[in-house]
Amino acid sequence: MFESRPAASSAKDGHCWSKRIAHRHSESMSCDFEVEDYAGRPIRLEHTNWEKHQSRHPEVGPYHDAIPLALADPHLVMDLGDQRHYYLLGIGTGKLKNAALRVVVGSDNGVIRTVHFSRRLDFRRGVIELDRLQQVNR
Amino acid sequence: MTTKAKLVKEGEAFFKSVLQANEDLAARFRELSVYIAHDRDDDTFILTLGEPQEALTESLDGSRIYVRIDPDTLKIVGIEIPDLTTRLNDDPVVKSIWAAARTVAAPSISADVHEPVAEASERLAKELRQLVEA
Repeated sequence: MFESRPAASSAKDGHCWSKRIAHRHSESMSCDFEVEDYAGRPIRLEHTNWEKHQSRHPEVGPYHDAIPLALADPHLVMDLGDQRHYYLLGIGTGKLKNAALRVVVGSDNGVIRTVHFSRRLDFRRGVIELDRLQQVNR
Repeated sequence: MTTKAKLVKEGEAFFKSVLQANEDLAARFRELSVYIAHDRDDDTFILTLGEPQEALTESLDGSRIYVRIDPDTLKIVGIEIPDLTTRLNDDPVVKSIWAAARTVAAPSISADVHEPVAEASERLAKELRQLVEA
């Protein structure tokens, strides 16, 4: 339904591998990163949080590298007061083909709270901060 | 029709399909393994129905509850409640779901154990279906 975005890369087996956004610590690979969102706000993913979400949401493992893209170039951002929801469409494949990647960020500290795939864009809570849905190829 | 309008319409159709696919939810709460956990780091309550699996995660309107949905069968396979402690204080629906989930996952040791579990399964399924329908 959504046209895939070739800019999105994926991590093999859910492990971080991109040197651009991952850092090596000793023998282990850390998945933490800090990027600016489309409005220039710093957003941080903490390694422990990512590890936790990989166990809770195993389907997002291969999409670690798409998270910065969802923040920097989202199709939709909803402001819910204490958190913002960034949606990126057209990134999922297979069973997730028609779903949007949603990144939930705490408004107070800019820390990513959760990442998952969703079929429904939830417009009924909060206010639309950014709407680029017209750019979605459908 | 705008892209947003199309997406809203598709979302509504998707949730109708989810409702239809979960008419057996109460029975599944009774019959399948139910795992619950509370992550103290981020105060998130997690319920897993059946074995953990890849799933969609959908927010339910008017609440801060997420349901996990199998993308193939559209069956609900889990619940997540972020900020549980706060929600328990200010959201009676969350409190009801949390209480029912605890009973379903860990029935008390009593002679009438089957009845409370059955009732809790019905209540939990009903509450979730109402939220999906809202």
